[in-house]
Amino acid sequence: MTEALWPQLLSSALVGTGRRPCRPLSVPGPLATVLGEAPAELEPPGLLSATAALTVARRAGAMPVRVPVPDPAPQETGEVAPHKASVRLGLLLLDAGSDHRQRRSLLREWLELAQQRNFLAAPRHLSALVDAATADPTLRPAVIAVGGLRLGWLAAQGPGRWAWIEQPGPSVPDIDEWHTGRTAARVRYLESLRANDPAQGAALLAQVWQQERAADLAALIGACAEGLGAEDEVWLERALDDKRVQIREAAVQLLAAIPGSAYLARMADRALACCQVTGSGQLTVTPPAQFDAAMRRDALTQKSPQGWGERAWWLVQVVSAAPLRCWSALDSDPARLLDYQIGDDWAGVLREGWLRATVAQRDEAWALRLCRLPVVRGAHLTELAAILPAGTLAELAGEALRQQTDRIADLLSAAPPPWPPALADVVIAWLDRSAAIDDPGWWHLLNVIERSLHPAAVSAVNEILARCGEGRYREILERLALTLQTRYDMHQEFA
Amino acid sequence: MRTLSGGSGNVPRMSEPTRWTADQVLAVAPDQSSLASARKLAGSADWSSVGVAQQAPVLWGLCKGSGKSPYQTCVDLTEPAYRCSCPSRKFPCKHALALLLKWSAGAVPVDEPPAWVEEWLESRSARAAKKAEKVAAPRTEAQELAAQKRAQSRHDKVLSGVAELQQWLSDQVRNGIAGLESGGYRHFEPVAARLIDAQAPGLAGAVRRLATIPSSGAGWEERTLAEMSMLHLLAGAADRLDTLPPDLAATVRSRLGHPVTTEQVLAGAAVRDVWQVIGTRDLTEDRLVARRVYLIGRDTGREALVLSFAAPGQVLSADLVVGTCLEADLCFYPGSFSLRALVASRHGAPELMVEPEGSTSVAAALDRLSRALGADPWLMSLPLLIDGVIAPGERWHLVDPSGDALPLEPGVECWRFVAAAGGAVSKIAVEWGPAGLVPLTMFRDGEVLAA
Repeated sequence: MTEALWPQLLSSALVGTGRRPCRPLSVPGPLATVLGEAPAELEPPGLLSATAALTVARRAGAMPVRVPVPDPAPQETGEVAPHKASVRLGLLLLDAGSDHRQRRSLLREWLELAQQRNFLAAPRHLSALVDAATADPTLRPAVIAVGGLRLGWLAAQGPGRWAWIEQPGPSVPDIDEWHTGRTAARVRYLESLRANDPAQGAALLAQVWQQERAADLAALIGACAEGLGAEDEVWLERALDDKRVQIREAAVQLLAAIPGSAYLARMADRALACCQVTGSGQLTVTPPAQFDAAMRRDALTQKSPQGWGERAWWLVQVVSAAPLRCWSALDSDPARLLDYQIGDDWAGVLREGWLRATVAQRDEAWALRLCRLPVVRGAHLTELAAILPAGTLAELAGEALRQQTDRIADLLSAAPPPWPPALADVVIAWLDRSAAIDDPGWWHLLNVIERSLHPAAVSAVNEILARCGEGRYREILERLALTLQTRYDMHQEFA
Repeated sequence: MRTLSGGSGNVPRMSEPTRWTADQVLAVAPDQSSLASARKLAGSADWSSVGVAQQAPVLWGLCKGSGKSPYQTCVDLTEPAYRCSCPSRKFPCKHALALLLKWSAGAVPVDEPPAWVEEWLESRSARAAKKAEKVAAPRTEAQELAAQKRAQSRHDKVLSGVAELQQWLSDQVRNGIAGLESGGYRHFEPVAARLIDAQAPGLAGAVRRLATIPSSGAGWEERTLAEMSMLHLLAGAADRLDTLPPDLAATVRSRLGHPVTTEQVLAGAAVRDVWQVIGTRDLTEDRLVARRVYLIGRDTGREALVLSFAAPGQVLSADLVVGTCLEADLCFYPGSFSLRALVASRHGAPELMVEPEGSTSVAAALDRLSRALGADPWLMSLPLLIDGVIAPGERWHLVDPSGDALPLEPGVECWRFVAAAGGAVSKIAVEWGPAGLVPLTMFRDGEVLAA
């Protein structure tokens, strides 16, 4: 009954009683005590009094609404992490303090430990974990693994909110998706078809070739990396005649992965044509003088990016695409070429080409040789070191530590934790000797060490600490010991 | 409830005070960076002679700092109160927090308190006794008379401000409120300033809150008119204060902003109960952070609100920890529905509370709410403890097992509760407000979760 009065009051108040006087048609019983029986017109104070009475009546007389009760989450089958480990996770998830990076790396380790031991995160931590993984996609697989059934249920409560949690589509996409689906779904379909029957997949792609847009076609060609074989070379070579550069680029990606392909032979010829051994341990470099149609067909680009000369850019593309094996034409141990005397200004360009080729082809011999070059540093060094087997890397890091160069951190970042005992021993022995270090690179190195050294090494670090005098180095060691202790405790809490 | 025996008699003293959970320790941290330091410190080897007393709820330890002698850190769990010889001005400092974290993790052995701890405890109880003496001293007749005179002259000033407010409100309605949306704060500020001059800070605050509504999105017209009408109601009540029943008059006075001294509150009747701390919420108003701590009496079922304030950079009081309960005397501010209270005296240390008692259905909570609004129509917040589930959606709701639901405040979400409960009914503490509910705490499986 009061509901009929409210709109009249509001509409008068909105435009003003001066312009739209409020003349309520009827006043409900209880309100008559406030307003009097059926007043002809409400002046502003009367209007406000009536509104106040209605407002209190609405608040005090509010009725519950009816909404569906959410479906309960499925019974969890996995086991939640031990209590102490859960408490630790809660602390790590707090958005606390300035040591953001360290906390993130501890969180990552916690998730790995839980995953290895088949433990789940406690449900009360899931929303914070989901937030962390939404911000940092690299955490997602681990969060999905420790999220249990509750995580999928949670995602279903907020449809579309966390697409990354929702399970990927059916494992075998059906043909409808090929005809009407988005590019990603079509790529998935083609991949699954290629995995079973590469020829049929190639045939299917050939059918649609003419009508596809360049970007889609490039993605579909990429899908044919699945089930790739020598018999694909024919249609891939044909693709190189396409006018669209995206298509040619997608095709050479696959051709480079077919051993003995004509494309690789062409690249090898081009590369070797640029280099000539002109004496013992001497190399003369002549980059391509012209950019020809054949180079364009093989998806090399003519226009150089900023900072590159044209010819240097052509050279680096040619060398990085050529198979490293081809260099045995110049030296029986081709990686030795890195030590050759190279005239002019081309030495750096050539090395850059070799470096890219080594990373792309994951060649251990070349990687080791490149890692030993003092000029190779930074992200390049880490990329190369990641190609090396753990033992070799430990050896290399040992050499670097003995030389006290600033390349240590770049090398060590490539060594996946936990470090093998040999590497850990080298690092600890080095910590013991390095009493006084005043090097800005130290903090980077410390970050790598505290993240990757096995936490049991804390006792060794404490021993060093006991012998260490006051000063800056002691502070560094204390911080390291504390982090290792935290990690050690964290491992114990899962026991 | 795990540790308390029934009834309101003496709480049996445990051989060792109940340990807090890590979450509860986190709740008393003044800021995030002290917490981070404390977390590191708790695991470090810098601690020596740590202990917890068997007879008194007190923790202590020595922590090696940068100086020669170690810092002496001590926590009295009853209030709780903290002391540390470090130079930090944060309260509690990272050492006290670290000590609490250690204790919470079970890494503090029972021991006899050393002399320096005993000394501190004694000096504290001496200070408390002195304070109590001061409170107990009655005012002289002359003081009483002067106070009455001051109150009267103040009230006259307030009435002149109230008259202007009434006129202003009528003008708004006469000219139409549709234009307020584009008018901005400036339209409201002169009348708020005038009310400050008239010594009615409560009314001034209400006008400033009103000023924020026209820019608060869809439906602002209804909300603005509703709040204007409540101000009109309050102004009318102020006008005839003498004719109102004393309790209602006290409510009106407090809404106007008349100060009530701590002494006056403590002079009122105390309510002794086992007070369950069910939730807390920090709000910033006028550059001041206000911490609302909500309690519900285990035996009386009565709600209470303990307020504390801090200027920016200052640390809020953290002496009431969510998820604990304490037997204490509470004195309520006068009024027809009194929610705000002071802790007058404590009986024993706070105890850990697994699940609070006194949770209800949505229907019963609404019943409770309507009675409270019947007594104080200007009520803007009330704690409710409801057995239910948080249901996400376009608009979120708290729904009880019968399907009765109340909407949360627009824009409020609480995925943490959703994930933790997994659709199961839990005890959920919320703050009711005219715009909807704000979740505060969820009690579930012996865990206390803040929103």
